[in-house]
Amino acid sequence: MMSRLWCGIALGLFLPLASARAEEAPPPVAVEASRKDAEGFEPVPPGEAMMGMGEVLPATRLVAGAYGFILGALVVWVASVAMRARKVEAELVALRTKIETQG
Amino acid sequence: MKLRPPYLLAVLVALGGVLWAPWLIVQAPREPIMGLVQKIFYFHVPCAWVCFLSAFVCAGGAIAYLFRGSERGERLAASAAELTVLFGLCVLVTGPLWARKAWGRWWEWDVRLTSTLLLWMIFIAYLFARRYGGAGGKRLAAGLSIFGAANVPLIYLSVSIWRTIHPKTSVVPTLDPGMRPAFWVSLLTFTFLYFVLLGARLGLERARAALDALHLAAEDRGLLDGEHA
Repeated sequence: MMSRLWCGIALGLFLPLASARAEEAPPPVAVEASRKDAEGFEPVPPGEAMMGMGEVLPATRLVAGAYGFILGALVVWVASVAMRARKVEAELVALRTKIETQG
Repeated sequence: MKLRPPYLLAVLVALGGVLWAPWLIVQAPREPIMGLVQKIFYFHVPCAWVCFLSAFVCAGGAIAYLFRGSERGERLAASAAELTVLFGLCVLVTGPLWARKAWGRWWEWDVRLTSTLLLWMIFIAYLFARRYGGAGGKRLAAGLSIFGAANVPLIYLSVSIWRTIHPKTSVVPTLDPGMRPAFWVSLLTFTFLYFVLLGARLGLERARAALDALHLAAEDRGLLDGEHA
C-alpha cells in the first residue's frame, strides 16, 4: 500500500518535470540531421560566425610571426647553449688550475 | 674547439638551406583557398618532423642508458629532449598562427593538437625530472622519454583514426608540384639543422661530464674540502 503511495507521489512529481523539460528540449533529431553535411559538420549561421564578415586577418603578419618565432627561438636556444658552454669551460679551467697548483 | 669534417659539412648544408629555403618558399605558388598563410606549412611540418625525430633519438639514448647503463646514451637523450621541447614549441606556436586564419580559432582541443601538446609536456617533464629528480632522476627521465616517444605514432595516425579538423597526412603526397621543392628543401634544412644543434648540445653535455669527472678527481685528492662541488 505504502509503496503504491510513494510511486504515485514520485510519478506526480516526475511527470510535470518531464513535460516541462520536453518543452525546452532541442528540436527533433531529424531536423538536426538535415543541417549536417555528408561528413557530419554543421554549417555555422552567418550571425554566429567565429569571425566577422568584415574581419581581415593579416596573413603577412601571421607568416612573418611564425618565421620570426622559429628564428628567434633558435637564436635564443643557441645563445643559451653558448652561455652554458662558456660557463662550464670557465669552471673546467679554474678546476684544472686548482688541481695543478695544489695537487 | 675543433670541428670534425662531417659536422662541418652538416653546418654548411644547414646554413645553405637556411638561405635557400626562404627564397624557395617565397617563389612557391600560392595555395588558392588559404592564400599566403599556407606558407606557414613549409616550416610548421618540418618542425613537427624534427620534433618527432628528436623524441625517437631521445628514447633511443634513454633505452641505451636504462638497459646498458650507457652514459653516452644518457647525454644523447638529454640533448635530444631539449631539442624536442624547442621544436615542439615551434610547432605549437606556428600551428595556431595558421589555424587562426584557416579555422578562425587559435586553438581547438582536437586530438592532433592535444596529443602534440601532451608530447611537449612529457618532454618538459623529462627535463624537470632529470634536473631536479635527485638520485633516480635520470632513470625516471629516461622512462618518461620512452613513454613520450610511444606517443609519436599515435600523434601521426590520430588524423586517420579519429575525426579531426587538422589536415590529413595525405597533404604532403598530394602537394602541388610547384610547392614540392620549397617543402623538401625546408624539410632537409631542418633535419640538418637538427643534427648540427644536437652536436652542439652534445658538446655541452660532454664538457659537463668532463667537469664532473674532474670534480670527483679533485674531491679524491681532498682539494674541494669545504666547497660545494
